[in-house]
Amino acid sequence: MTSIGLKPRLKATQSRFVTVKTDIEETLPPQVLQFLPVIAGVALAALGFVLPAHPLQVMTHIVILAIFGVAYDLLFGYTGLLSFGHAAFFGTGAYVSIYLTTAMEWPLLAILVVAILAGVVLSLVIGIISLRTHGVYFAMLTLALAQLLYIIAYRLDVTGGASGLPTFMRPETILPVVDLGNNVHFYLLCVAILVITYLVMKRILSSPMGDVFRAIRENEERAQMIGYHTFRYKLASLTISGVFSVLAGSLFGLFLYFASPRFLYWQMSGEVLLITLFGGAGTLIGPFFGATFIVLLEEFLSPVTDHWLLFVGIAFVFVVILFPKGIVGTLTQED
Amino acid sequence: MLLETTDLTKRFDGLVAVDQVDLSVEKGEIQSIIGPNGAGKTTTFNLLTGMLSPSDGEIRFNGEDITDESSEKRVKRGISRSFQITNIFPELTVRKNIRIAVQEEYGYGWNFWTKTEDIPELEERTLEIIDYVGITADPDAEASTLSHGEKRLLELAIVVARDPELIMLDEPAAGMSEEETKEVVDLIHSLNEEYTILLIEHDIDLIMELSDTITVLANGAVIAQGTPEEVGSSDRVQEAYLGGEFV
Repeated sequence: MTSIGLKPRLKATQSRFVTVKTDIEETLPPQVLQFLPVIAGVALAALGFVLPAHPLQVMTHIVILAIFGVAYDLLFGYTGLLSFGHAAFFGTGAYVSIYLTTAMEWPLLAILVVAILAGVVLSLVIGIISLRTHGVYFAMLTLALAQLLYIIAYRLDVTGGASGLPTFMRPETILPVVDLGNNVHFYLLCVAILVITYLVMKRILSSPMGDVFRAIRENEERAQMIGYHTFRYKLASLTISGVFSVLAGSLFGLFLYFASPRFLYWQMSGEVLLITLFGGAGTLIGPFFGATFIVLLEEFLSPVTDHWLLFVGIAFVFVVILFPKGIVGTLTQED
Repeated sequence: MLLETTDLTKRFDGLVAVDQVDLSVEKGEIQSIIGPNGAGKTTTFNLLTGMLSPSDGEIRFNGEDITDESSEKRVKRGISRSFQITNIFPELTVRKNIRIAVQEEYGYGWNFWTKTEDIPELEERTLEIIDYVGITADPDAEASTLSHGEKRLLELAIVVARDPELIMLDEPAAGMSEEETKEVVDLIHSLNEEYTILLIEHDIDLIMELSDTITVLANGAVIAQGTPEEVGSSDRVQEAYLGGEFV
């Protein structure tokens, strides 16, 4: 075998931000890095015990949207599929949890299991229809399907029509000490599910399948010409993303004691896209910061002005210009 | 016969891009398809790999009819191709670019729970291929930072990583320096020790030096087929190229 003596080209000058992550990685021993998500989870959980009532609600809101964002990012940031209909999953989750809590009085665990199953079925239906198309057509089809669900929820009696479904209690759990009616307990549940979501996604993204997702994002044609049946992998990515989005939605419904057609509306799909873009698509912790940013913006601006969304728009323009890879995406270089 | 086509035809709205092409690629040979721009070379490649479906005709691989099979199935049968315009995964590292092909070959694509790093055979095979193809770039460098020549090599590595029977190369030396072209020629020769090769190339010297058989296309149809000597002395070929770009 002849050696090919192509000169290794000097590494292109990389953004100065890239070194930040390397520094962190070099100064911290790998054991610490490995436990970082757990440490962060514990810190988040600890907040639950010290925060006063209202800030706790704000934190709960952030954590739930972060779960939604992480789920969305698997599809958008890692598989390169721009769904504009993820509200379909989120809203469905809310209806499932509220309905099962009020009409059936099911315990939390059973509700979560049904939510997961609903997520799988809904993902397969939406995926099999929309994944036949690419790019903007995929975005439009997912949008159309989600809007269809919105209209159905808006019209049907079983979903409570325009006013949605309320509940006056949260479900029971099998653990006697846990009372979800207690907002601290409910917050801890959300944090636990966020940490689980993060760890599962991290695991999937370190697996061979995670690399197939990235390969599809980078160059679907090439992935096909390596032998991957990319449609099936995209469907897998959409399903995993859909299931966790439904879970996030179930929590959101229980959080607000309420399922509304609004959660199925395209604005919700836009919100999760913003959350992911703010934090940095293709980073798993980005959506947490994106969610924090959006929720805090709403928190501080909505009492001042009805047009707080306008400021979200302005902030978004700045982020896109200054940090095209999002806040976390600029500081690190996950791939 | 490893690969055979009969009357392979592709029409696009009245334009006949590939016109009743009969090809036969024998196991172990290097066959080249040449022809002026627009002769139908890349379209033929796309038909063979399943990226386009033929309007007419038949494709057989190892004696089996694969005319209507998907690209993915054909890759699994052992047809692996490179592209005219470098077609890699730009934001993934060199290592991942190759490993992604290796893991499909080894059947790990659907594994979503084991860390890829914990599957030693993937890493070993990846490094083997890097060595075999002669990539000198840092395996952890992002593919987009490589030089053009290295990107072409990386693409070859991805093709080889599928451990195919037939390697199809679409202008492997396009845009390479003379030096790099020589290295590619050497590489193709050494690939040929294990694989059958079908290639499209513009560089006539390279074709003459490499090929066992040459098929000449013009306006989508085969106008000559044979050894480099036979094709070089064919009047029809001379004619087709007169006024063409290789005068």
